Amino acid sequence: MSAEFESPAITPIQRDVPFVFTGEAGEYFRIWIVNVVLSLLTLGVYSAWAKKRTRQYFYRHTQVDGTGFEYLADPIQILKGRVVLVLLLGCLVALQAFDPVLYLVGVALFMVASPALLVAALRFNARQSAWRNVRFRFDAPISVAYQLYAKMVGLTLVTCGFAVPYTQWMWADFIASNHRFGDQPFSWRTQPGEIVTLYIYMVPMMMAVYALFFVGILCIATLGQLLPTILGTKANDPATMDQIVSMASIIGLPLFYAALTVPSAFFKARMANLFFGGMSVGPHTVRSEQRFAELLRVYLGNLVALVLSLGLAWPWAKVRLTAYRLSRLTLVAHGPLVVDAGEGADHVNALGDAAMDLGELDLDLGF
Amino acid sequence: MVWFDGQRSEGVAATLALDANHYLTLRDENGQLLDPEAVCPARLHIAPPLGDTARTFHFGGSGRGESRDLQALAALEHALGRGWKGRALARLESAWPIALTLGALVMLGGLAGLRWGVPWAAEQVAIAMPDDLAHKVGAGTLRVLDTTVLKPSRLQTARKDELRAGFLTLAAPYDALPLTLHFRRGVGPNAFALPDGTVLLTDELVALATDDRQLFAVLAHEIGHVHHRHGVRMALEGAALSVLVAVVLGDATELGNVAAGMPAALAQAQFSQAHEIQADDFALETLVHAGISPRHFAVIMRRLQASAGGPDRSPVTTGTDPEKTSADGALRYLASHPPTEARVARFATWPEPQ
Repeated sequence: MSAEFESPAITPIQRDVPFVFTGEAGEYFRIWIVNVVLSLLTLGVYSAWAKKRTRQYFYRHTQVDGTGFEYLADPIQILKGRVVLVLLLGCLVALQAFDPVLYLVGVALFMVASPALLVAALRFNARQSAWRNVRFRFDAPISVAYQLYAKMVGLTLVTCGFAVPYTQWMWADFIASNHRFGDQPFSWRTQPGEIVTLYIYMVPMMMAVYALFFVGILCIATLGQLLPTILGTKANDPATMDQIVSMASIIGLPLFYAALTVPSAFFKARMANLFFGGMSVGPHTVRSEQRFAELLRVYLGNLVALVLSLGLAWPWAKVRLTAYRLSRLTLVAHGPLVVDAGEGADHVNALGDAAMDLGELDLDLGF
Repeated sequence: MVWFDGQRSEGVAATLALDANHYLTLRDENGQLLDPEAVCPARLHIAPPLGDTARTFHFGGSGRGESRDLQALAALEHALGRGWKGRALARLESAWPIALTLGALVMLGGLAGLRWGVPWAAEQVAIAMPDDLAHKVGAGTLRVLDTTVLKPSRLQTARKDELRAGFLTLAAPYDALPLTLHFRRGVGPNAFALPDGTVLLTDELVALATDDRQLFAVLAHEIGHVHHRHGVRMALEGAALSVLVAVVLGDATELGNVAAGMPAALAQAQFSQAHEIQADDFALETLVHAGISPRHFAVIMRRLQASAGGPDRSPVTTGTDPEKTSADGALRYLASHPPTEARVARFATWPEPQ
């Protein structure tokens, strides 16, 4: 009916290209369990190949315009980085036990090196990621990372931590705007104020959860005082006290952890929307529409499944979370998605990548 | 399949074929050759299969093909006589019976490794460690404790000497251990053993005891911690746990899983309880050897529990303070010490010498 009013000659200037995730929990579970077993049997050596396969699995199942992403890293290179990192961390752990002073020196050195390691990791990751045989790149010089790091540390110290929303914005800006896809630079238009606002909402939520927790403890303590009188048992009978405290801990602690998920889901959904939603790749923009309530449902479901399965539901949880996040992500294409590869390779180093993988360095932006 | 030349993010439909002479050709829809290099099968590299995802291939140049026709690719590999490793791995990853069996094995193996593997390995390392190295671990701990929580003892020198003499008698059979007794106060009735052989006794515990032999029973337990190198072992077990948690859980925080630390706390508590039992065994043997009735241990432990007025849940700072009484009920799994009554039963029922 309405078709006759449209002009077929004009191609749309912009079109929505959704991110489509096609991974399945069952398929990933089988890959994951083989990864775990082979990594254990080879005393961790296979973990480099396991990492490649896991990444590759999630990349290939993440499709834009009908083509999946590709993770190109060479497992041998991942392995080398891992060996170096394990040796370094091993030395640190040994020092912690035997020589606390040298340990502190080691930790300080590690902290001084961390901006360089982080940049190396970002470069490696970007360089090994491709779509339609065009690679991503991360171009920031290490010196810039050090300047930024110094500013972030300085601001945090001077403001006693109150500048954290702003330093987080600085860091996100650094990561987002220094990436490229082929010859197309990324840019980021999220304003510091948006992240500050997010914190203004999140911090009271967090405090409310802690307040509830302490009120709960007070109630239990009061109950503990009153109960012996009610039940007519001896006051301060250790056995009764024990029962009360045990019951309260068994019910209360998991509830507390579950409650902490509420502000966390709020923060991560909003942060992802700000981080990805503020991004442009060349002329194209990105839309991220994660919802607090939906993400919370995903988190709580994952938490329950992981606890009940003693961790075996991990692949299911990971697929579920990835599927949700990507279902809320859209590339808004302004013109055709054809991009030139740009000029040649740069030096990459798997060490930084391994560092992140062991969780020693944290690249987590909170989404 | 689609061919991406690596210059632009734009694919062309293509066909890869292997002829009777084992030469490859890569052509577009119009029959034009896309990559003149793509002739010799030796240069062809196909990414191993992964689930039912598309597979990519290249000839060492910048171009890259992508195909979802997994059967055709497997047939090509088969004709070329390679790729068997990747196919074997993919077969392993595609079978549910194998996956479920491995899942069950990992779960059981993981629990067994935590229950026996980690403590066993920590013990072997602690035993193999040179004495002076083992005793150096945590050597600065006393200084740290003194500047934070501990206060100087108010006991009179004569009283200290009296207790020290008894301590040395107990310690006599273990003259290889650098054992020294120190007196402090400020943390309630308690006793600690530090890895370097320093044993601390608080004034509050001295006051609580009704007989010096009760104190010697506690000290025997502490010597047990030093003898078995529980300080070193706690450190090693803790390190092994944190590595395990990092490796196994990896990006657990990413899944919004704040509870990731719970299993580690549980395991650490179990390790600590095993050490307490081992130190109790040692105390029993030492007391019998020294001619002190083990019943004194039961007496002082019960007095401690009564004085604490129930379970004591203050955090364990040095890892080896045995005189904390412990919670019953489900919470006992998270406590650093086993339930007091279970511990003292065998001491309390020790036959009285005539």
